[in-house]
Amino acid sequence: MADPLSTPRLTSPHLEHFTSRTIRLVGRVTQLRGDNATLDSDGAVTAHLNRDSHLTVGNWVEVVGKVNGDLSVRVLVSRDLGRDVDFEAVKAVVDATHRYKEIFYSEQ
Amino acid sequence: MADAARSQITQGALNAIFNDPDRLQRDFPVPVCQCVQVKTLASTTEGQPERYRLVLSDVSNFVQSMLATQANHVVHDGKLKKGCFVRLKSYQANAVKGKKILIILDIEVIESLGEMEKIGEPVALTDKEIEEDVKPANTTIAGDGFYGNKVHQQPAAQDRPLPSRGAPTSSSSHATIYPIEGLSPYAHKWTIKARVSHKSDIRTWHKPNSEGKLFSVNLLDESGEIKATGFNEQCDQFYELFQEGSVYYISNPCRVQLAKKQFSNLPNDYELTFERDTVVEKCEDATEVPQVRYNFTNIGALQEIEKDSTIDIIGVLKDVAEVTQIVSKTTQKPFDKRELTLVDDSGYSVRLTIWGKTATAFDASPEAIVAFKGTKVGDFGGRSLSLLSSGSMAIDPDIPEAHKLKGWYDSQGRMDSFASHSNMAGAGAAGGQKDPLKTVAQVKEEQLGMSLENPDYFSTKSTIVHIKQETFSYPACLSEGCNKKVTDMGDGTWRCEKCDINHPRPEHRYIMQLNVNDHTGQLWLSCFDDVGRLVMGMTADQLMELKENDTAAMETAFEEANCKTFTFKIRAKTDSFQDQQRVRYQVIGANPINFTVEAHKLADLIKLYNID
Repeated sequence: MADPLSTPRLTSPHLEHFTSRTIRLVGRVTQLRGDNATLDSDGAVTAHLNRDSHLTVGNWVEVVGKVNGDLSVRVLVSRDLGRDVDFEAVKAVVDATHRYKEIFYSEQ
Repeated sequence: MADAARSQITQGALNAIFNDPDRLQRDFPVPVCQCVQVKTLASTTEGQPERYRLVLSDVSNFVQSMLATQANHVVHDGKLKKGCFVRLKSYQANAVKGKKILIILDIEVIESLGEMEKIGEPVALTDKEIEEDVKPANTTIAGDGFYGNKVHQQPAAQDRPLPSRGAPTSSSSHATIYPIEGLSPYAHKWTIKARVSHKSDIRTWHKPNSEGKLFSVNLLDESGEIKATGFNEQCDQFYELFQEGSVYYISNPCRVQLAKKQFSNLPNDYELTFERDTVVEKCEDATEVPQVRYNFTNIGALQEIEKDSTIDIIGVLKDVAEVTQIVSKTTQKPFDKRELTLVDDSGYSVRLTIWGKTATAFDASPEAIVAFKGTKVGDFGGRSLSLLSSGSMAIDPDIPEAHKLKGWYDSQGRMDSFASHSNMAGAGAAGGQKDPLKTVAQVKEEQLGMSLENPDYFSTKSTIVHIKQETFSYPACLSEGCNKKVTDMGDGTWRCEKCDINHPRPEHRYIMQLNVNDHTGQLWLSCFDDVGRLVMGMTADQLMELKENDTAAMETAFEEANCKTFTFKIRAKTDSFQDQQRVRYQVIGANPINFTVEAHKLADLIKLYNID
């Protein structure tokens, strides 16, 4: 059982290793369709939104959610980051997180 | 017995030595003389060997001679005595004050002849001709064939140490040409033959206790360069005489002094000052004296050169700017200047500024090779150059370095892009070789600011953890541009001593002590008004008002300001404070954090820890 409080940072390629875990992801909103949104986080991710998420296409967003079997994410909480995010910096953090995973999260 | 000796003596040789060099070659390759007198000259200084004065006779004439110290052994061995006979294997003829002197460098005693009474009635040598000016009968340097040199003397000239500083050889006549490098205050009599590489204009100066006029010339020969100045009367006396590019003989009296380096760009320890009796003659034969001496530095190597030093440089003209005029803040005089960009095969480019007439009359086109002599190195934008008034510029000079550069540029240089010294790694406001980014621990470890001479500059990203609330500002003069502290006169006015004005109220300016931390340690910084405003978010006047009226609001203001992170640009230097030396860290600028840039910096730092 994953340690209840940690939400490892991911980008799209990492999703398959973290199914049924709660994770944190930063991506840019490329599509909005009702309750679903498509995010671009170094790859496409389908996000199932909840009541409180108000996303804007073209903006960056950080979502905390659970990874489904089909690699889509059920969003629990979202935060708008505006239009100006340096994704390289984000990727660097994700890279560091996984390189030194002991610091950031515990294995399932 | 005397006849045998007499027959061996080369009669007439002495006359030929001094007056008839051609005959000497032919008839007297190795003169044989009788030594009719030997006298010892005690050494004047310690460590100097004694000198022997001889009188040599070839039966027809006699001549005074000095034995060179390297030949002293013939006397020490007891071979050379009064009355004996000698072969002169190596010698030099000189003249001192019109009197002939023979310098003997190598001598062999004909022991088989023993010693005898003076043979014949030799008489003193007469002059064949009046000595021409200061032209020597022989030279110790300067090229062959110059005066129809006696060829067999050339090896002698080279063996002999040059009569440079420290050698009080009484044999050197005032006609010997010294190399410029050999000039020193200790040289008694000298003549130099040099080209005027630069002549300055007549300048006048007016100081409280002295005034006058002067001009200077830069003199150049194969050995080196030296500056010579003429003041007041000598200025008038010599100014017209010297022409740039011509070669002159200059002899003492002429003062040799330690060089005042701040007035000259030449690398000589000494400089000359003309006196009333200084002898200056134009020289017609200027072939051996070089035109201009260059000592080029690569543009790439400029980084290593210290600021304010003088160098020569050659490069391809990459860019020529327009002439601009700037007014000097100190003298209010307008100056013309033009900026050039030079590149060379080190792959670097540098900006060079030329001034005055050189700037306005500049007409070289880009891609020309230009050589500069006498440029000062500055640190504007990393490294920059400025042509000194005593320097010179040559466009497309006919020297090997210029040809080499042209070849390089034609084949590859044109396409290259050039690094400039102002490109340094480090993003954001803190980047630049002037103030590298340091952690607090590094600052303390590297003892930045501890050297007593120069302040150290660095940047650090750190967070304010405490602001000293007492004395965060001082009352300052209201006058524009004046920030001096004003004194409270007690009657409601504030007086500024510098402007001599009484103001109704002061303008408060920040002078704050901040305690900042980063992950490695903490530092106390002092910051001034500009940074104070940035940190507090209000002017010092406003904060003072809060302090006087609303303490709670003031405390809130300090709380808000606390825990802000900035990249501070700091000057660290050591101050003496009540007998103690402390390092003071003064903030010269602060920038808020650019998160993107900082994130990348951290990412790079983390990457450094990667093993793969």
